[in-house]
Amino acid sequence: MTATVHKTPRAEERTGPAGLPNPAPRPEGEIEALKHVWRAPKGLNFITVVNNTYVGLFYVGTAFLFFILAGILALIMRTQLAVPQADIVSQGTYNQLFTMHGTMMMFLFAVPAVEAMGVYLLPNMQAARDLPFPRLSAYAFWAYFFGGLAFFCSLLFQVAPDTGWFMYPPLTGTKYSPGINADFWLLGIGFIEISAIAGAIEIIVGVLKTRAPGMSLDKLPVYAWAMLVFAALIVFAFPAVILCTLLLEIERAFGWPFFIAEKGGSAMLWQHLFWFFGHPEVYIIFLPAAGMVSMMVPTIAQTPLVGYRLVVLAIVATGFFSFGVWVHHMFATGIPQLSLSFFSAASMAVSVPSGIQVFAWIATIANGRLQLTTPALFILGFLFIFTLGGLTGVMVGMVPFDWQVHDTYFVVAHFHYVLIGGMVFPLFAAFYYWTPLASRKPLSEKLGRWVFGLMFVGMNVTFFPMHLTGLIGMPRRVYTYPAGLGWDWLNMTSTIGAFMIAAGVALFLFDLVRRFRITEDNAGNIWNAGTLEWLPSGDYANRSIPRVTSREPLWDQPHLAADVEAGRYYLPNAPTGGRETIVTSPITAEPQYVVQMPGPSWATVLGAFFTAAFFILLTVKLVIPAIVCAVIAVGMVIWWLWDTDPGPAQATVDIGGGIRLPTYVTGPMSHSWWAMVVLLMVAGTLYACLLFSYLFLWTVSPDVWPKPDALPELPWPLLPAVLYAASSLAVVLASRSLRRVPAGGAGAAGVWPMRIALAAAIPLVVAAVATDLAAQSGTGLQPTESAYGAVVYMFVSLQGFYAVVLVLMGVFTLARSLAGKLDGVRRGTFDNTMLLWHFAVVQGLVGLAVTALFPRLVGG
Amino acid sequence: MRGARPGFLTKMLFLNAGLVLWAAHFGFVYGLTGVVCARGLGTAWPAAVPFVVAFATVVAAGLSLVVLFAAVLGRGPGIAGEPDPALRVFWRSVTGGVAVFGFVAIVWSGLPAVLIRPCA
Ligand code: HEM
Repeated sequence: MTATVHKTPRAEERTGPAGLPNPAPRPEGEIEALKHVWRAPKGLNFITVVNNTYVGLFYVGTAFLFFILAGILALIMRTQLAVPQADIVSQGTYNQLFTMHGTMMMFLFAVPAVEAMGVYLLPNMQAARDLPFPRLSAYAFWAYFFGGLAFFCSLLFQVAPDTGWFMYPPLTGTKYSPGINADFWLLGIGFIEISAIAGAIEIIVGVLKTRAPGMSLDKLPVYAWAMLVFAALIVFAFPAVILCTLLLEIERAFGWPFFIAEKGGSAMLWQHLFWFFGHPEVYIIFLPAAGMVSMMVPTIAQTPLVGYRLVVLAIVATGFFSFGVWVHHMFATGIPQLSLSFFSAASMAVSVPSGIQVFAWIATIANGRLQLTTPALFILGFLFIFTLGGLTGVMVGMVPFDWQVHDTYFVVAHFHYVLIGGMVFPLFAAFYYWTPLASRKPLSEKLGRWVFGLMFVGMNVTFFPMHLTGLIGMPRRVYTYPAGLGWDWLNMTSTIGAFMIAAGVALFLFDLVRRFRITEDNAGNIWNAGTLEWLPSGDYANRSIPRVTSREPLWDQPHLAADVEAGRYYLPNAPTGGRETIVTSPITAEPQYVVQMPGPSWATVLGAFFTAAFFILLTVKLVIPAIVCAVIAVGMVIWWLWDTDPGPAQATVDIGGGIRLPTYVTGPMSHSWWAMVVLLMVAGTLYACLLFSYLFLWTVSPDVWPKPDALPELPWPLLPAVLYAASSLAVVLASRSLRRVPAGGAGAAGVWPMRIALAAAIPLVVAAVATDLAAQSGTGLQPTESAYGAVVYMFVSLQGFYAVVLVLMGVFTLARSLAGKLDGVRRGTFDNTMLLWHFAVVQGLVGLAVTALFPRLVGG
Repeated sequence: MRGARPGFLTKMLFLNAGLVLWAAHFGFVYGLTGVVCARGLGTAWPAAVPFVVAFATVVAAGLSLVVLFAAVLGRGPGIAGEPDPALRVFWRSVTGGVAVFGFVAIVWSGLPAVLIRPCA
C-alpha cells in the first residue's frame, strides 16, 4: 500500500518511537496474513464481497444510477413542457413520470446515497476495519439494488405508480386506482425502507461501538454525529411510512377499510403517518449532506471547524425539531389556527440550527485560507442555492402566501432549490473530495470547474424562472398548457436549464469513466486533510488502529500515518485468524473487546434477491411463486446467520500496549445486543404508530367503536395474556438454565432444561395469538366491516407476524443448541431471541389491554 | 454499564434532556388539544385547555432550566465525575446548549397554545 501522505515522514525513515503500543518492524508474514483475511473474493464470487469499501462503492454507484435514471425522466418531462400543447407524452405517462421521478429521487437516490456514503466513509473515519455487521450492509445494499431496479422497470410496462410521490388515499385506494400501479409503490417502497432501516442499525452501532481508541464523543468527526442523528431519525420516522404503506396495501388487497370514510376510516390517517415521516425526511437527507460539508470545509480552509460544539448541538436540535414540523398536518380538522401557529413556530425553530451550521462554515472559511478547488466550488454553490431555497421556504411558510402559491410551480421551484442545493451539491462536492480515497487518480480539477459551472448555472436557469411561472399561476403536475398565458418563454428557459444540468452530469460521468480506477493504491491525502479516513489503507482498512488524541489527528499527530502504516498501533495483525476489529465503549471509546466478523457469503446476495423477488411477485399477484421466494429468502438468512455468533476464538488476544481483550462478549456490552435494542426501537415505534392509528380512528369515527357488550367477554382477553406471560416466563427459565451450561458443555446439566423451556415457549406464544384471534372473531367482528374491525385485526396480525418470527428464532436457537453451538458463554443468539421475545410479549399485552379496555372506558 | 456509575442511556438522556422535554411538552399539548377539539367534549374542556397548557409549559420550561443550571454548575450524569476534562467540557456545553434550545422552544411553541382559542 503506497498512499502518499503529505507532510509525514515515510514509515521506514522512523525508528521505533517509545510509547506506541506495538514495536516495529513487524514480524514477517504479518501483513500478508492480514491481507489474506480481508481480501475480496475473485471472479464471479466478487459480488459476495462484504468489505465496506466495496459495498459502499457499489451502493454509491447504484444510488447515482438512480439519480441519472430519475434525471432522465425529468428531462422527458421538461421536453414535454418546453412548448405549449406538446404531445411527446400522454397525460397518463406524464403522471407516471412525475410520480416516478419524485419517488425515485427521494427513496432510491437521496436516502440511499447518503446512507451509502456512510457505509463507505464511517469505518474509515473512525479507523475501524469495517462496520460491525458487514453482511447486513451487503444484504441491505443488494435488497435495494434488486428491489430498486424492479421498481424502476414497472415504468417500462406502463404500470408505474401515477398518483404523486405522497400517494394520498382515497386516490390511491382500489376505487380510484384499481390497477397494480399503486401496489408497486406500496410494496416497492415499503421494502426499500426496510433496507434503509437495516443500514441505520448498522450505522448507529458502528458509530457508537467501533471507533479508534481515544475517539471519545467530543472528538467524534462531525460527519459521524450527523450520521448518528440521521440514523436515529430513520429509526423513528421510517416505521410510520412502513406502517401506512402496509395499511394501505392491506386495504387494497383484503378490503380492510383503514382509509375509507364510509366505513369509519380516514384519509387523514395516511397524511399523519406519511408526514410524520415526510418532514423529517427532508432533514434525513440534509443532515448527512451538512455533515459532509463540515468535514470538507476545514480541509479546504486548512483550519479546524469553528464552533464544533455548536455544530453538534445544531445537528442534535435539527433531529428533534424536524419532527415538530409534522404537527402542522395534525388535527387540521379540529384546530386549524392553533395548528398553523404551531407549524410556523416549529418551522422557524428548525431554521435556527441550520443557520448555526451555515455560520460555522462561513466562519471557518473566513478563519482559514480558502482554496478554490472543485469541492470548494460545489460547497459555495450549495450555500448560495440552499440559502435561496430557505428564503422561499420562509415565504411558503407564511400562511397567506402559501394559499396563493399552493400546488403551483413556485412550490416545485422551492423544493428543488432545497433538495438540489441541500443535497445534490454537497454530494458532488463529496464525490470530488473523497474520490482520491477510492481511486488511483483524483477527478480532473479542470473538468470539475466545467461540471460545477454547468450544474450551477443550469440549476438556476431551470428553477429560478419556475418561481415566476408559479406566481403567474401555472399549476404543478400538468402535462401541458395552452399558449398565450405568458408561461411559454419561462417554460422554455427551464427546459434549457435542465439540459445544462444534464450536460454537467454527463461531463462528470465522462471524467469518472476516464479517471476513476479502484486499485490497491489510492491517490491518498491530496488535500492535506486532518481526519482518519485519509490514513493509508487497503482492503484490511488501516495496517494498525491508531489511538487518537484530537479531532484532526493527522494535523496534530504528525507521525500518525507513518506509525499506523508501520503497524505500531493497535491490532496490527489478525490474531484470531479471521476478520476482526476493536469494539470500544460508546462515550469514551476505550477498547472493550475484539469482535470477530463474518466474511463474504452468497447467502447475503441470494437472500436479498429472493426477498426482492417476494415483494415484486406479490405486487403482480403471483402468490405461490412469491411464497416460494420468501421461503428461500428465509433459508438464506438462516444460512447467513448460522456462521455468525462464533463464540470465543481464544480467551483473550493482545492488541498491543499491554491491552488484552476478549474475543467474544455477550450481554449489554456486545454489539449484537446493541443492534437488537435499536431494532426493538424500530419495532416499538411501529407499534406506537399503530396505537396512534387506533386512537386517531376513534377520534374521527367513535360511532364504529363497539359498545362494551359487543366486545369479547372479560375472561377471554385474560387467556392470551396468561399465555403470553407464560411464554416469557419459559424463556426466562431457559436463560437461567443456559447460564449453567459451561463453554462447549454439550452434555452438561442445564442443557436439557434449557431446551425444554425454550421449546415450551414456542407453542405458548402461538397459542396466545390464536386465542386472541379466536376471542375477536368469536364476537362476529370482521376486519372488512369497519375501521375498528380493521385496526383490531391489525393488532392481532402484527402479533401473528411476531409469533412466526419467534417460532423461527426459537427453532433456530434450539438447532444451534443441538449442534453444540450454544452454551453459557456463547449465547449471543439466545440473547437476541430472548430480547425479541420479551418485547413481543409486552407488545401483545399492551395490545390486549387497549383492545379490551379502551372501548369499555370510552363507551361506558 | 459500569456498576453504579450512570450508564450510556442515562448520560445520553441528560445530554438531550432539554429537547426531550420540548418533545414531551409538544406531544402532550398537541395530543390534548387535538382530542379535546376533535371529540367536541362539551364547552368546559376547551375552556380549560389554555390553563392546562400554560401549566404544562411552566413545568416543562422550569425543568429545562433545572437541566441548564445543573450543566452550568457541572452537575449531572456525564458531567460530574468525568475524569477527561475535554469530554466534561463538551458534555457540559452541549447539555447546556440543548437545554437553552429546549427552553426557548417550549416557551415559543407554548405561547400560541395559550394565547389562541384552542378549537377556533
Ligand atoms: C436534476 C434536475 C432536476 C430536474 C430538471 C427536475 C425536474 C422536475 C420536474 C419537471 C418535476 C415535475 C413537476 C410537475 O409536473 O409538477 C419534478 C418533480 C419533483 N422532483 Fe425534480 N427535478 C430534478 C431533480 C430533483 C431532485 C434531485 C430531487 C430530490 C432529491 C427531485 C425531487 C422531485 C420531487 C419530490 C418532485 C415532485 C413529484 C410529485 O409531484 O409527486 N427532483 N422535478
